[in-house]
Amino acid sequence: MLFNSFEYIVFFLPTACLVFFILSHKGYAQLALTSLIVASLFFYGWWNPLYLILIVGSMLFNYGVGYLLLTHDHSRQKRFILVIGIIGNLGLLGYFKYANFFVNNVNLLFETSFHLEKIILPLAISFFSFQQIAYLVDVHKGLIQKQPFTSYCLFVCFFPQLIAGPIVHHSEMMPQFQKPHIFKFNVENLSIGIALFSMGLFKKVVLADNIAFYVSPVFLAAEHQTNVNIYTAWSAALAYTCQLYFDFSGYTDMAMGAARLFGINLPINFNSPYKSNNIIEFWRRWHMTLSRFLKDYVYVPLGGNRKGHVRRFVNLLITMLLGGIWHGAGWTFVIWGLMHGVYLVVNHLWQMIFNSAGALQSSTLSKYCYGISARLLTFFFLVIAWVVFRAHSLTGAKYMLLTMFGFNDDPKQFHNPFGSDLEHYYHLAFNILGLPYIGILLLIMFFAPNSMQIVGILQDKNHLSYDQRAKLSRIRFQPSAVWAVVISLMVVLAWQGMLGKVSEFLYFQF
Amino acid sequence: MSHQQAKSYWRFIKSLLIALVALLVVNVLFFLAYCYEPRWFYHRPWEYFGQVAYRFERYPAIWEGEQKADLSRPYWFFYQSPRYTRVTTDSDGNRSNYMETDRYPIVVSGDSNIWGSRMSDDETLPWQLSKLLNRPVYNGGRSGLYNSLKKDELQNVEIIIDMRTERAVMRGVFNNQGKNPKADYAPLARHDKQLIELFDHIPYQRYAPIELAWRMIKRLTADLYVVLSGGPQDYLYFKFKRKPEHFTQAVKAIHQRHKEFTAAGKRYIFVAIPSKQTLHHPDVDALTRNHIHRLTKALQQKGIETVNLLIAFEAHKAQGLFHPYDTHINANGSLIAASTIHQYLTK
Repeated sequence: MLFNSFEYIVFFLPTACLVFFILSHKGYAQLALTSLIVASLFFYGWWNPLYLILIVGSMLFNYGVGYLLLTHDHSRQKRFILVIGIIGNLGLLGYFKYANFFVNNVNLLFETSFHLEKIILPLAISFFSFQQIAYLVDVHKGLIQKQPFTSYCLFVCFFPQLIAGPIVHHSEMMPQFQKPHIFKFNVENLSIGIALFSMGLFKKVVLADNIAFYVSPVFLAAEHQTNVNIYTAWSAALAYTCQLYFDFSGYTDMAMGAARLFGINLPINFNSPYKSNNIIEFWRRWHMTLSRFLKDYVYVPLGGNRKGHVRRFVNLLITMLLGGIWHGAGWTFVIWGLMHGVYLVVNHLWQMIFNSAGALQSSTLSKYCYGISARLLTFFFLVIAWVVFRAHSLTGAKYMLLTMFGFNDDPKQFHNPFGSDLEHYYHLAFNILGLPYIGILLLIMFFAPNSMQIVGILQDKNHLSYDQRAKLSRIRFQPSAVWAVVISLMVVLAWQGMLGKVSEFLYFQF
Repeated sequence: MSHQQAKSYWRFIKSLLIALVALLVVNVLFFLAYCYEPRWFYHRPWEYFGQVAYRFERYPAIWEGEQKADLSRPYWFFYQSPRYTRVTTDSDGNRSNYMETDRYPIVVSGDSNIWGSRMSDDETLPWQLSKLLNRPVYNGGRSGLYNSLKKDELQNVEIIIDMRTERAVMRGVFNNQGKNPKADYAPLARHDKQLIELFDHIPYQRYAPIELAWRMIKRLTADLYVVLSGGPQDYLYFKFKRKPEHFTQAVKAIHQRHKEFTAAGKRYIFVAIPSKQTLHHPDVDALTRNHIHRLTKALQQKGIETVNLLIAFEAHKAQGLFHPYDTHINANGSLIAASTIHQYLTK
C-alpha cells in the first residue's frame, strides 16, 4: 500500500488510528500495540500477501538470534551467533536483491550460461534487513535487554517506517511504545501529524511527480543513444535532482506525520540536504539514518579514522561503495557509491589542507563568498552523481554526462524524446514551462525552510542565527485558520494529482 | 499541553475540516456545471465528442460554436485562430454526409484531415467531393478504413479512396494502421449513464477549478514567452525524419491493400495529402519536397491508382490551404483536394 494512495489515506490510516485509540481508551494498551502490528502486517501484505511469510520469518529468525545472544555469556559463542545472524540477513538480502545481478555478471565475465529466473525484490527488504542487523549488533554489545516478541515486531514492522525508512534504532523506538502518553489521544499530535503528512503528500504528488515529466523521456532517449542535446540533458539532470529530493522528502514527511498521529516521533531523516556546503555535510542531511547506520555498523568497525589517513580514506571508499550497492543491484549504483566515496575523500583532504591553514574564511565577505561557492560546487557534483544514479545503465549515464559537457551535442540532429514531431511542444516543455518550474523547485530546496523546521521538530538552534530563527518563527506551523486553509489547499491539490495516477516513491525500489 | 492549547488545536482541526469541505463543495459545483453543459468546458469538438458525446447518450452529438485552444494547446492569446464550426455526427460518431443513404458507393478513409478538423460539416473533403460528384460519399475519417468497411452502409462500396497524410506514409505509421484488425466493427457505446459514471470517465482536469486555473497560468506563461521573444511566428510545422525503409514499407503495405481490395472487386485509389511543411517550410530538403512525387511514381509502377495532390496544392498554395497555426488542411485545402479527386474520377 502506498502512502499516496486512496486506500491508505481514506481507509487504512484512519482505521488504524481509530482502532488503536479505542483500544487504548478502553485500557487495553497491549491490545492496542498488537493492533498496530496487525495493521502493519496488513499494510505490508497488501502489496503481496506471500511476502508476509518473508518478513514474519525474518523477524522470527532475528528475534531468535537476539534471544540466543541474550542468553549466552561466552563472548566467542556470542560472536559466532552474531555472525550467523548477520549472514542470515545478508543472505536473504543477497538472494532477493543481488542474485540476478551476480549471475548476469558471472555469465558475462566467464562466458558461462547460468540461468536464474528473475527474482522480484520484496518491498522494504533492504530496510528491515539493515534495521535487524543493527538490532543484533546492539544486542551483542549489551545495549538491549530481553523483551517480548510483540515489542520486537513493532520495532521492525511499524508501518510508517517499514517500507522506506527511516532506519530506526531499537533504542529510539521501543521506549516510546512503552510510554503511557501514547495511549492517550492527543489533538496536538493529530494536528502536527496531519500537517506533516499533508506537506509530504503535496511534495510527492504535486512537486515530485510533475517534475518527472522532464526526467524520464530524456533518460530514456539517452539510453537509446538518441540525440539529447546539452540543454535537455542539463534540464533532465536538474529535474531529477529536484524529483528525488521532493519524492524522498515527501515520503519522509508522510512517514513522520503518520507516526506522529500515534504519538511516535521517528528520527529525522532529511534536513535540506542541498543546503550543504560540502559532501560531508550532505551525508549528514540526506537519508540521515542510512548514513548513521553505515557509519556505526560499517565505517567505525572497519577502523574509521583511528588508523591513519590512508586507511581512513579506504574505509570511506568501502563504506560508500556498500552504500551504493545497498541502493540497488547495478553497476550504476556501484559507480555512484564510489563517486561519493571519492567526493568524501577529496572533501576530507581539502579540509585537512585548507582548514588547518585557516585560509579562505578570514573576513565576513570571504566567508559569504566561500559559503556560496562551496554550496554551488557541492550541488554541481551531486547533480553529476545523480545522473549516474538515475541512468538505467552505464552506457546511458556516460551518454548523458558526455552530452551535459558538450561532447555529444548536435542540435542539427535534434530529436524529440516525447515521440511527437511537433517542435514547438518540445521547445515549450523545456524552455517555457520546464525551466521556470525547475527554477522554482531549486529556490525552494536552497532557501525555504524544510517541513521539520516548519512544524518545529527541528529547532536548529545551533545552525541558525537569531534573525533566521525569528524569520522561521513567523512561518512556523500554528494551529490557526490560515494554516488550516494552506493545509487543505495542499490536500486538494495532491488529491487531484492522485486522481490522475498514483505513482510509487523512488526509494521503494531500494 | 494546556487546556488553552488543546482548544486552539481543536479549532485548527475544525477549520481544516471546514476548508476541506468548502473546497470539496466548489469542486462538486464545477462538476455539476460540467454535467449540466459539458460544452462550456471544451474548445475543440473532437475532444468533446471523444470524451462526452461518444459515450453519453444524454448529451447531443452536435458541436456548434467557436473552436480554439484547449488542453493540447499551450497558449491562451497567441497562436489562436478562433473559428465558428458546426459539427454533427451519426449515432456512431461518423461525420454527417452531403447525401445520406443506407448504401454508399464511395468511401473516403483517413484521419482528422478527412474527418474535418476545424471544419463545419459542409466544408469537409468527403462532403465537397460528394457535392461535386453528385453521388453519396461516406466520411470514413473517424475509425480507420477496415473498421469503416464493416459498417452496413458500406457493404456495397465500389470505390475506396484511401487518404493518408504524407507524414503518416513517411514515418511508417501507415504500416501499423494498415493492419487488418480482427475485431468486428464496434459501434459507439453510447449509454444514458449515471452521473457517477460520468465522474469515473471524465478527466478531472476538465472541470476541477484548481486545474483550470493552473492550466491558465501555464498558458499565460507561454504567452509571456512569446511576447518576450518578439511576438508570434508562423512556427507550426511537423518536422519528421525520413528513413528509406519507411518508404519501401509504405509502398509494400499500400500494394498489399490494393491487391486485397481489387481481389474483392473494389476500386482502390491511394491519395497522399501533402504536409504543410512540404509546401511552406523554407528549409525543407529536396527529398521531403519530392516525396509524394516519388511515392506516386512507385505506386503507379505497381499498377495502383494514385492521385498526386502535391501538384494541385503547389499551384494553389497562395490561397492558403492550411489553417493558420495548425497542420490540418482547411476548407480551401479540402476543396482543392476534392476537385483534384473529382477530376481524376471523371476523366
